[in-house]
Amino acid sequence: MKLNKWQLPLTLVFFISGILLVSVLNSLAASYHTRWHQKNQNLVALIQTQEKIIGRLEEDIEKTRTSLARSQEVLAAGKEELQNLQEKLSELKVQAGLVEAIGPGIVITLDDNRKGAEATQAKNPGQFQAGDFLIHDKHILYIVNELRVGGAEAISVNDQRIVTSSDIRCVGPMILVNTTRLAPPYTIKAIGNPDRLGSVLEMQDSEYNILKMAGFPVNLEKKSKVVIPPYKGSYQFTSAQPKEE
Amino acid sequence: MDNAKKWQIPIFITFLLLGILLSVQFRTQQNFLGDLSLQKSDDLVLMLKKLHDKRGELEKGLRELEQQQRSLQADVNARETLAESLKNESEQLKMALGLTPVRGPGITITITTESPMVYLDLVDIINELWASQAEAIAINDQRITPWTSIYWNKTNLTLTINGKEILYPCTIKAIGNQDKLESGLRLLGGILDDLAIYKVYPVIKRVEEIELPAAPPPTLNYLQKSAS
Repeated sequence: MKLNKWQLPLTLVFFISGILLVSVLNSLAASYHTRWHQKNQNLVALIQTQEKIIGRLEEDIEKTRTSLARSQEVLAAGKEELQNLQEKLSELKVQAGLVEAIGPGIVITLDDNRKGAEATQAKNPGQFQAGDFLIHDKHILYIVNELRVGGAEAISVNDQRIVTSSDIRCVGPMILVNTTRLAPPYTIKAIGNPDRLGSVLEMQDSEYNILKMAGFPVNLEKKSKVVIPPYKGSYQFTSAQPKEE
Repeated sequence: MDNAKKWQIPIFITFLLLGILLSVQFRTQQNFLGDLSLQKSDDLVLMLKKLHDKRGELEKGLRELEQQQRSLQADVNARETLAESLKNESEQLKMALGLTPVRGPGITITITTESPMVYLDLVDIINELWASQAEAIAINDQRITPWTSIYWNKTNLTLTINGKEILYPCTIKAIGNQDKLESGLRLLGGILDDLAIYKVYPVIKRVEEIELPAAPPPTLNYLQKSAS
């Protein structure tokens, strides 16, 4: 009976130990069960591959987002630059006469002096010179120059816009402006300060006044609104090129 | 006391072993949880499926971003092309308006002090040069623009261009085809013959490289683009 005192607990302990031992061995055995383990190894390999791909994709997405943001910035900044360029070009087009212009100014009409010619021919056929009664290229050229002196900002002759390089000359009895044939009556329009333009044109020795004194049917009208058509020619440069500063 | 000692030692040893066993078991369990290959296959399959779905979404997202990037880049390129053409056209118009310094071959026409030249002679010469397809003209380094005013200042009795006195010798420089420019001036009954009547004998020289300065930008107060 003395022996029994410790036999029971010891038995109990061994019993529990045995159970534990079995469970440990079981779990160890289970973890190394080959077939099951092999299958999981394959799955794990697949999982790892996917994880690597996902990692790369996430990197690519981040990079693309960054470059996208940069492109957006460039585009936004460019929009402003583009707008500036467009505004500048549009201003230049107005100055270069490539668009229809509008503004206050004057309208001058000149015509050949037919009445004077008939009268002289009737009265004094010996002294009659037909050229004395015609409007010549020089008349128009000098009036255009006077308009420029008067601060004209846009000029046209019979709807031919006068630009920097416009030439006014005659071929026989024909007046050419921008190499386009014009016929009388001639209408010269100018945009600018109407009073200033008028005062230059009506000076004693102005070309306009000389024609008026000589009896040509001329007319000058100040207007609050003059419309001048655009230049239809082209600006071409073959000899001149911009000088780099 | 004797009896107690007799069972104390084995009990002690037993509990010690028990403790070791417990800790080993716990460690095994821990490894089991940390190692993917020790998880249940079903869980792994589920995880793989989720990863697969995520990958699909990411690929789709990346494709969309790249598509956006491509179209944006096309916009950037188109904008650059447009900007380039705007710049070119502006440059050309600035040249035409005399707002850019230019260089090129051409001729110079020099008129000395003694000649009783009048301002209209200058207007005639310039008109003749434009008719001979001059591309740019300057008088004494005053570039000719659509707003250049040439006149006789009656108060100071000076030949004036853009409000400044024209000093002698007066040199007119024109860029363009030299043959055309010179033959235009020398035309029979042309401008040189006219000037000779008044004993004005300009000296014409061909120059391989003429440089003309730019005119200041104009201030236009009345001219407006029509609304149409």
